[in-house]
Amino acid sequence: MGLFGLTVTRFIRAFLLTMLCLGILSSLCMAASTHELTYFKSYETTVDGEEVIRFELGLNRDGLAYKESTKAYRPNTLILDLDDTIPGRLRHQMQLSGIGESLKVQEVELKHTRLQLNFTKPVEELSYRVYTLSENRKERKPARLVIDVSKRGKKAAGSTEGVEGHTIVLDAGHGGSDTGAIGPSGLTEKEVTLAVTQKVRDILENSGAHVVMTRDSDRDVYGVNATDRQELQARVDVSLREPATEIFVSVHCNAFSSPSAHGVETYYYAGSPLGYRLAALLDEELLREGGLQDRGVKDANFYVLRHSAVPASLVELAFITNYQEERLLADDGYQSGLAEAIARAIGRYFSGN
Amino acid sequence: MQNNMKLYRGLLLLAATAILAVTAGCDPQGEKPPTAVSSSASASVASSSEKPSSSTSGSKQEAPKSVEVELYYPDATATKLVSVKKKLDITKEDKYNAAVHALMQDPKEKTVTGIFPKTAKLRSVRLQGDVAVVDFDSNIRKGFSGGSTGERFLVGSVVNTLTNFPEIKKVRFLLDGKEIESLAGHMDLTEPVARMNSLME
Ligand SMILES: [Zn+2]
Repeated sequence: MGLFGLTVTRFIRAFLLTMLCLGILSSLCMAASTHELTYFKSYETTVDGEEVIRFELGLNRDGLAYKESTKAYRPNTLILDLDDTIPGRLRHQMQLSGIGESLKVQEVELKHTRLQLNFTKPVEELSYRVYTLSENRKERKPARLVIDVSKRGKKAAGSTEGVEGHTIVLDAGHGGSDTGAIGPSGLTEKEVTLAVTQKVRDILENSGAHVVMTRDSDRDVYGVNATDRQELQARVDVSLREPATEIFVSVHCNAFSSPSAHGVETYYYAGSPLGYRLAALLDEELLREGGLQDRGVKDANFYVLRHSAVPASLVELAFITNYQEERLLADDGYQSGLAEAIARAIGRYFSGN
Repeated sequence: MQNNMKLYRGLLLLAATAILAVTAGCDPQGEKPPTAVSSSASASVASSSEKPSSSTSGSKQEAPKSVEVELYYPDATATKLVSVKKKLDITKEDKYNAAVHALMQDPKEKTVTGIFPKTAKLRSVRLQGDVAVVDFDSNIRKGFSGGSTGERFLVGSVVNTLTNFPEIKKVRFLLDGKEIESLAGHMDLTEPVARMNSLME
């Protein structure tokens, strides 16, 4: 027993010592993996045949993790939070010309750098893409963080009849800390709803409609630690703040515990005949476009429908938990088709046919 | 700050669990700690089964050991709720708790499917007048499929099963003892939910 006890004590001591060493080692590793900004420049270039203005930041190494966000009270500013990054010798404030007005570089916390890129117009109205490029030894290019802003503005989209002059609120379901449902291969509801909703917006705006988005990036509408009511009410509030709003359309992907559930359904709030009409048109157009099973037009006590001051519908494009439908939802072309269907339904709603 | 709080809470919980485990191990009688199923006074009055001695019926008869209940599960494609009759053991808990516990088990019947995440736990079901207050732990959100349909069928299976008892008219949902406003971000659960007949068609 005594010997056994001694062995145990020794083992525990050795274990603790090992853990301590591991801790020191890992903190050393972390220090070594810190990113450093090396330069900033902006220039015009072409990406996939599209003319863009590129804002480029050099980095000392690959593997940068960053988060993109905007703030409602500063619509012209794109915020990029760079994890484990120091600003290096980069100037803290740079005046730019053209679409980008200025760039602010700040180490807001130890080894956490924030970039604030100010544009001459709201970020929401820009067509842009943020991504990283790996170090390329052959071309002697370092790791880079790149923000490409299209010179043409929003990508040219299709158009639809009947929406000109109307005001529509589009709600991309979930977002930010709320992924929504997740498909078997990892596709998230929030990314599909945003992609489709942005495509609908482009078509409607191209057709002369005024569109307000509850969110236009991967973010929570109220905030990260919001209650469900705050988050859902914040989406309703977007339409209340715009008195001209005529309809509210919330876009979602469906989910169920069994992968065999499939098809399209659209929802309205019971007692709203216009809500029903909108939901029915959306269902009809989505079915015609996507070729999925019709699960019907249903009434439900959904928060955003119940609290909407204008006719509202929530559409469930397809089941992200169904293997085939998840693949469709991930497909850019299929998403565009669904977006056209939604835009057509909205056009029919306003033109009365 | 939020994270620190979580960590702190987690540590407390860990410590509490450790103490519990130690004390349980020390208990010479080896008595089991009280189960998580808690029934309020009103619930135990409503159930004729729990404590025959405190039964208000006044009869000296032995309380029933089981009761047959209709449970509502979704079918595999989530088109409707299907009722399945099951005999439930009500010697350890009342019929409301037993019914929801049974719903949370994946059904063996091929015609229906389970909708609850496996990690979810029921904390309690108690009656407040004609409203059943169903309290789940927050794991119900973690492993949940989500989706409008998933949310409606989970809520609907509980509501329709419980409102099958004539004394229950509506169901209020709690998570970790706190009122919730939604489960998966679609349904408005700020008020008690009445029977969802649209899921039965
Ligand atoms: Zn959703």
